[in-house]
Amino acid sequence: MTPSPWQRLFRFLVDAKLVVFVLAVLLVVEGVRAAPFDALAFDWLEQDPVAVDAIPDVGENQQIVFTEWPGRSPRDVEDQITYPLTASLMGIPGVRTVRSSSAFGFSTLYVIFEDDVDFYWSRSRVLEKLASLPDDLLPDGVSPTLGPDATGLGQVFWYTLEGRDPDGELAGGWDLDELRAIQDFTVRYALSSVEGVSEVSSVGGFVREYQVDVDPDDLRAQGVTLQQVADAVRMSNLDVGARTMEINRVEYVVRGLGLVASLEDLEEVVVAERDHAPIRLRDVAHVHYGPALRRGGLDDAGAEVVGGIVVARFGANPRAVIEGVRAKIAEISAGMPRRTLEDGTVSQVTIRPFYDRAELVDETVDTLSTALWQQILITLIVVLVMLRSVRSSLLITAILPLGVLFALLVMKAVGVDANIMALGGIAIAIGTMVDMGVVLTENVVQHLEAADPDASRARVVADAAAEVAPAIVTSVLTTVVSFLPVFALTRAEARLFTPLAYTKTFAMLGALVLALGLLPALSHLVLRRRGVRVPGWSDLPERTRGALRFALLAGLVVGTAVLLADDWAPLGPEPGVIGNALFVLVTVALVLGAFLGFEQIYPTLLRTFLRFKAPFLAVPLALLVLGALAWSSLGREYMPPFDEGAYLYMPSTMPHASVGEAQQLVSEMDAAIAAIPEVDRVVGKWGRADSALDPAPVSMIETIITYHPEYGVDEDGHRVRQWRDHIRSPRDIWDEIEAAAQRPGLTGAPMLMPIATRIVMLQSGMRAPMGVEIQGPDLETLERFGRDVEAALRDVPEVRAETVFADRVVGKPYLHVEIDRTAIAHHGLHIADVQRVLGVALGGPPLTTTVEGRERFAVRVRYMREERDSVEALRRVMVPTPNGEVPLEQLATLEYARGPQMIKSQDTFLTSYVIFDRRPDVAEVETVEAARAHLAALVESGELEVPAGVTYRFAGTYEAQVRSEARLWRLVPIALSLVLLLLYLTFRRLSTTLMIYAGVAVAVAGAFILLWLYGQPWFLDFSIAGTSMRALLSVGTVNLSVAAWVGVIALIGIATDDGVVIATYLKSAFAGGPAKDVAEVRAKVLEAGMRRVRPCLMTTATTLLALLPVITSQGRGADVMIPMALPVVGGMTIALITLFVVPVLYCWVEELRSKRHPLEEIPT
Amino acid sequence: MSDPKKWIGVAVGALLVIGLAFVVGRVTAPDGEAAHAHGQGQGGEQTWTCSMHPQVRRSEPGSCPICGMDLIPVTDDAPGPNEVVLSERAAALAEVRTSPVRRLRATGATLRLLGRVGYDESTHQTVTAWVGGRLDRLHVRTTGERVRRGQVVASVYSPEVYAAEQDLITAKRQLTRLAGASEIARSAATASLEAARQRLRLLGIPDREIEQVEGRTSPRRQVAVRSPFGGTVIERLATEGTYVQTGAPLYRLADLTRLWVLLDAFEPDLPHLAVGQTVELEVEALPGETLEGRVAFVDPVIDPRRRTAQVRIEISDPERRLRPGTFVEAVVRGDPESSAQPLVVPASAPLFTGQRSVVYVEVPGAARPTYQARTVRLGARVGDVFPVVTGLEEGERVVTQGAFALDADLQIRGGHSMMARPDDSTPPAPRLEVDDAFLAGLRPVVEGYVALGRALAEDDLAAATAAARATSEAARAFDPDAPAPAATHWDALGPRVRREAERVAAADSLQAARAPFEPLGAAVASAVESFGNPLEVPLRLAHCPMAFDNRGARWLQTGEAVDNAYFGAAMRTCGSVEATVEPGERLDLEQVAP
Repeated sequence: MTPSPWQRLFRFLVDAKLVVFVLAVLLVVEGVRAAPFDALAFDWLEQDPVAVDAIPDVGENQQIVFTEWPGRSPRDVEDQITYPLTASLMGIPGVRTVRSSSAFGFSTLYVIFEDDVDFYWSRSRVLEKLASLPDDLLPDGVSPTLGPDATGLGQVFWYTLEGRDPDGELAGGWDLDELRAIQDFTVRYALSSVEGVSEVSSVGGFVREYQVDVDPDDLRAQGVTLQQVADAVRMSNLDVGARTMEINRVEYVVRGLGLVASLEDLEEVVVAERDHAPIRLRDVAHVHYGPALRRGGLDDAGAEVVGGIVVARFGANPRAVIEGVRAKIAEISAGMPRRTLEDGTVSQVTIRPFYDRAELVDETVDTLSTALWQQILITLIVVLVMLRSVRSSLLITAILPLGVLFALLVMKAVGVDANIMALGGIAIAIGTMVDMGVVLTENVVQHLEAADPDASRARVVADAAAEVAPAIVTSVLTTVVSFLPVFALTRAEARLFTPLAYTKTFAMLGALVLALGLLPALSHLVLRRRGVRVPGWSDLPERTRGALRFALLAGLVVGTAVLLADDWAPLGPEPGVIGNALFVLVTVALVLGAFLGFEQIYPTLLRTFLRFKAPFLAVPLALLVLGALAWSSLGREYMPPFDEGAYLYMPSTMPHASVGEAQQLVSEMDAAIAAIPEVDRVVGKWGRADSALDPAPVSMIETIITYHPEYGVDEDGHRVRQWRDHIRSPRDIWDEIEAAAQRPGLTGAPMLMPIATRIVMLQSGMRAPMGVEIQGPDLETLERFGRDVEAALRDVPEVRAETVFADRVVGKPYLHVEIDRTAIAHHGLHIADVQRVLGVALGGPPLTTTVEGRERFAVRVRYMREERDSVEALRRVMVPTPNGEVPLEQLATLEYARGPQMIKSQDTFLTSYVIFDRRPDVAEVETVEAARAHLAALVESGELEVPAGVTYRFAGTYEAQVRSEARLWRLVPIALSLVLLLLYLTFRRLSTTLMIYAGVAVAVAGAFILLWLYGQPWFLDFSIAGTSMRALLSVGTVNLSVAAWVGVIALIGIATDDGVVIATYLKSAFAGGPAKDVAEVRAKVLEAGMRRVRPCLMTTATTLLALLPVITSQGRGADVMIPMALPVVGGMTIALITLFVVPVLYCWVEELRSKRHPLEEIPT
Repeated sequence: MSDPKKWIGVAVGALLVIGLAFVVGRVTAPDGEAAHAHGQGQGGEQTWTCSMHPQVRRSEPGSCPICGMDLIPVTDDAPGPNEVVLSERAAALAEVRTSPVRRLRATGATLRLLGRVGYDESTHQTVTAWVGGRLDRLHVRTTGERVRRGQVVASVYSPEVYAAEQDLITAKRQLTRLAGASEIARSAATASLEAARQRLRLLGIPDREIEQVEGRTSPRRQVAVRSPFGGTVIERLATEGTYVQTGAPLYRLADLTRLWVLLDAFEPDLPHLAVGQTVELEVEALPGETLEGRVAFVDPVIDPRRRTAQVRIEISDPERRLRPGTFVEAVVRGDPESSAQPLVVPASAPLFTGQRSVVYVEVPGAARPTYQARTVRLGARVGDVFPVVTGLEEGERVVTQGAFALDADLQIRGGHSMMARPDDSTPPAPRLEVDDAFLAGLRPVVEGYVALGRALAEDDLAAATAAARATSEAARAFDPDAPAPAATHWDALGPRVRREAERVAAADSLQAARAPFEPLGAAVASAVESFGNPLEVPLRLAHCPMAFDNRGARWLQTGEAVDNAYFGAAMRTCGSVEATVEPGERLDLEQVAP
């Protein structure tokens, strides 16, 4: 008999062990190098880990075009910059949409490209477009710039600068403008040089500038004009290079020195000369250092501070970037400026981080690596107990770490970043990976036992492997195919979930390669055939050998359990390692005991069910109905909230708030929040940082609040609870924060965490996960309709009324200086003459910039504060005319008007948003649907009038949920039919395939039922050893998110495999031709079922128990992992019924068939 | 055989029970929540108020002390669109402070003027040479020196004096020589002496000096020029060595203890200036000191170059600390003739929104701190206060600190904050010139509307729909051709009137008819604003604060007594007349208190 290709392959692999082992060692070494886990970081091995982030970068593929036009109102910016720029940038190939906002002094355009457009390609297209703009498109002196090659999600590291003494205690002694200068000219550039940093932006403090405050009375007295002063200042700051000079063969470099370097330099500037008496700047003005106009600030628990934001480049590895930043900070910290204070303490400027994404990344990776490690251990226990063979158990378990390393290696090669989703994919693959090893090893063991003692052991092993290889390949293929819908997701949800699909596939492929490539060779080395004499061992009496074997097995199980208990500690630290180990053992014993018991009664049950098919089949049918009910009752959301350990509290005050008001609000609010014991640090930012990534207006407040973890370690090394008793969850802390932060004039804020916020902002342009996007013909209409919608949404019960907030589109008071053309004509003036005076006297544009070494400061000339800080003073601003001068009030009227604080538009259509948040017990999609229905009803009844030209739609992450669900509804059937084809190719019988599907359907129903049960308050409401099972198993409302869908899809793969295995056995049982009578059919079915029940139970047990560490994990990222794991757990529990469903259906079909061919029945 | 069947039955039964529990659980769960939510709304103390006079707050029901209407309960959860209710904590956080509206002696507007110190022109004097001759010496050489009265300021060689003195001396000597001579000779000598004296006297030499000269042996080569008055030399007009004529000016003197301050006043300042006003002066040379003066003169002519008129202040400066030419900053306070005592609010109270401002007023006697946004008109700022034109009454407490926080809070809750005053959001209707024909065309529209209002007040639906149809017809029929702006405006207003009137006409209940009656009224009122009252009788703008669930609504009527179209018989007299528009006049909503 010629060997099949499989046989030949395995014979080669078993023979050429060296090749296999060398490759395996290479895999381990490279895998360890690529692993991002701290436990696998060895000093002697150069690490090159895969890029790590907490969650995938799901921001839109966007470029930012930022244009400054200092001092101009949003309306001017919109009309003269944003609109023409948007119109021309929309034409770039690959652009999906252009969002824009025009604010006071600057315009920000978000050019959003299709997902498949390369990031840097799109940058060069935008640059190209900007470079070729027609000259007259934009006002003079305005040049649009391309934003950093990063998104808001790249804000990975925030810090403040503080003066600290050598002991690290806060010492102070530095002014805010000094710190800002240090930040701007030293720290910023140092950190910008770190690899992967896109930009470092400064925020807070005062930007120092030279301010020339002109006294208009002095001007009149001295007979000079403001223009003369401005010109004089402009001409007073210049260095020239006058080449070189040769004197006696020596070459000298000639420099003309004339840069302003001190206040005195400016004071001496001559404005005019009268009768040989110079009129100097100090005769008409007060020259001093002052703060530049502020549009943003930073506040640390009530005190103003200076800080910076490090932004990682798009696609950079955030953890590597932060490590680089930390290293750079360590490098420069010794050389930071220091000074001795009056009391003798030495205060040195210190960089102190207050938001560090790396901590979150590390914690997330830690949670998942811990879960993976625990999964491996628990799998080992299960396999040991079920197989009762040390050798095969070790072999099977070896696949898992190797498979994980394989997956990491492929991730690195392909460029898939490690994050909660990617590592989660590996975690839910573990159960299936074990299966492959189990199937192969079991078969090898069986063949070795049954083999002719003279046959070549290598040949037996290879043939045994070849026998199951096609089945293993098919099962991996079905799993991969069933994941196709996830690969086919689009936009944000694709970025979020495809890493998971990739890694799960990689892990499966890894397991496949290892099971087929490595295991046969290893088994040949490790596994022996029965009856082979081993000197010494075989001489022992049989009972002793049995006892020793059992002792070894039991020792291994207990040892693994202790190891696991130490790491996992499911009951918490109090019961100690022993207690936890006992719990682990008891749990495993309970589950396995139940399974073994099930195995015992399985034949009886199956026999009964085969007789009473119809009543039995009512059970799965009922389950299906329950599952459908459960499904319809589940709340739906896009993404389970990911606990980042930090909150971003983003209230806003009204747009007409002044800088002082905003600053005071923030500082009071921060101080109040800082008083909450659970809160670690509070740093609030009002307005914007100096970055194109942050176009926030003054009225917008972002507060980063980090809180202590629930458990900490005290001085004695004991784990202690750090939260007060009534604080049970981060949500409770949020409630405390909300209560503390509340004050008149400040809105509430949706519950958001920093990364989630950035994602939401990048996706929808809003700062909340839910909102109504309104487009309208003009700002006033937008404002009016927005308010109507705001009022209407407050009445929706699912919506938290205090979080409903419509953009105050025209919420900024304007003071219009309307120049009277007739009046200026009388005085022989042009509009520009008046505007120039206004611009200089009030606006005070920077006239020149001093160059003091590395530092640069602007020089501004404007009226003294008293001469420009009131309407009365404004009226008295003197405008020079050809004959003397006249006050402004003779030339213009001052009028108040309402105008926009910020003009947002999308593809040139004016846009505004009404944001809202849901009540905690309502899911996202339900909230939006309720709100939508409410608005529609109001519009229908005429209570809410939609003005002409206004359109509204609901926007936010919920869109992604709806979109992905729609896509999944379309794609899952396609995937299922592909799987169906695969199965059909295997079984060549439609009925069998459909039976497997029936089992899968029941499993999916089980998944939904478990999800529903998790939302019930009574579910698992009991405690063991003082540990609430609800807390231990993270029982709580789970909404049907895309994450849960991914779990369901994974379940489909596993359940299909289970069905396939049984069907295979059934098929082989009937391979000899159809049964003759009903009794024979049942006997055959029973036999097949009994043969398969053990492997199936093992699959179920490993899958269930392996997911236990995931479900019980409390660390960062657990809240995203659990919804993915739960469907698998629920489905696999119910899948026990599948063990009956498929045989019963099969039996039914076979019985029908045997009745249909009565002729063949006769011979008996 | 029966056993397995029983088991299966039990299993199926159990599943059905679970399923039932599941369904029941789903249906009942939201109800429990709703009940919970209801429970939270209760509690707290009930306060009662009058819908017409929201400042009335009572802890028990009763009737309004002002109008006698029944008090209605205040729902703290839903304060009026103008009200902010804070908890004690929130009020403390917002650091709200109030101060009363009070009367203050009017001081009028404050003006800041700039000018310089000048000489008092009336004190200018010139020292002249009383005798011609050569100026040998000028004793006062520089300007700015002070000169006493009678001080010798110059020495002059005067040939005339010299000759005269010589004659005198000669005559004296002659007389002495002729001591024993004849009477005739002596008298001739005496006569010539007397003539010589007389000559000197005529030259201006005092007798005392003449006597001295007589005692000398030779005439003086130089004579002294004395200053006839004291003062400061402001100009030296002669140089040594020149010959001067008699009467030639040598020095100009001025008295610097009396000075003028000349201030430049621009055209807009002039109405605020009057002779006699007190002026405070500040001079850089005297930091921290304020001098006082009074306006003595306002130049009747504007300097065409400087575009200013000079304002003269006379001050005396006995210590001579001011120097002419010094720059002076002057603050002119108050209209001197005004003696009224207007209401004022502190300058930190109002939030400016143009012609009007928003002031937050504390609602007295409220259970919790309550503040009401009030639109007020303010006069020009005087020092630290603004005079109140309308909108506030004496004794009301206005918020002087924390007003912004209150305003922002009101805005967050969608109330009528400074950025969203309802009356500001619609631009005032333009006032357009129309002819009588236009008004005649408009008349049936307004008549139809007024009839409709009366029908509604009488609860007569049939009459109301008929009137509405008439109004709509009239609006359709009215198609003015001239003048252009008015026609255009009516083209915008007419369809509004028609649409709303048709909605009234189509109504099948009084309630349905009253809803569009309000927008119809707004359109008609707008027409009256723009074109004037086309009727022969006065139109009255009435307001009922209780219409539409206490939202309040306005309407136009002709009768003097309130004839409430929104309530009819139920409360026919509820409301108040806010404005009366005489025939042909235009409605001015600006003048109507918000």
